[in-house]
Amino acid sequence: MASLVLSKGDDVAAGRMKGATPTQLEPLNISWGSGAGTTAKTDVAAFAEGPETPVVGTSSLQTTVTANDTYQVTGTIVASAPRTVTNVVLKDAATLAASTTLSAAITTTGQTSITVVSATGFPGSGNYCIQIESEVLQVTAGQGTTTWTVTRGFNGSAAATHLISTVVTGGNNPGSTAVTAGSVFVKGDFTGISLNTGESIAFTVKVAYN
Amino acid sequence: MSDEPEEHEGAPEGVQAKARMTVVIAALVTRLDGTVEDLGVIDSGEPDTSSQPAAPEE
Repeated sequence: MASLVLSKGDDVAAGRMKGATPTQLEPLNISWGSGAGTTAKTDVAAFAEGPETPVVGTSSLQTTVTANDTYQVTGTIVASAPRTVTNVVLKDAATLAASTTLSAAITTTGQTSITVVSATGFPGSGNYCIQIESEVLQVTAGQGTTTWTVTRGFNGSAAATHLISTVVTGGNNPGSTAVTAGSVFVKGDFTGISLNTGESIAFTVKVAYN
Repeated sequence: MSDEPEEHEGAPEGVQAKARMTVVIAALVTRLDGTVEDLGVIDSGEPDTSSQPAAPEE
């Protein structure tokens, strides 16, 4: 298990310090996921985010060591169906990032053409990142179609094989905002929490700067 | 990663070469029957120093 400020999260934090130009919205939206994996700095998305809509959290400054050295966000998500929640993220938008699944397995770590069930919600042009399990890939061609040319092991992640039907989630690497609702500040994974429909988790996420 | 801030060669004694950010996640689960389960801290990240600038060369 791990809980980290992602590499994109450093971008988000610096962007908040810079202020108005470019505009970096506060990453106070909480979203969860149900995929397996250990959080890495290189991640760009939750492990199988959603499907519940992220909630706008309540942010505050707290004290861990010295006054106001900690950024805290609290918020509650209610399960719309039975599921086991395994990870949570803070992001700068209260909507889900684009998501689909693999329509064919990725059988080697060098494979640069992949196929997905749907391209809906993903950028129709330009390079953008996707996360498949713990690997981040960059889509460089085929945008708007279901066959994508990709750069493997992007953003410092490790290339790996992936089974058919594995979840594919869009996300932004540092310097990019190509994927709508795809900028993750903090991500943490934990032992799965099983929920029935209507049950909820109230999260408190703290980032201590000290 | 160590819990202790790293010091780099050439820095004055006691000067921390890298800032750090520590993420802590706590959870409270509410069941359908109204039962509230306080899971406490469900994950706590190690201090994150991996994105900090490398120490300047001598």
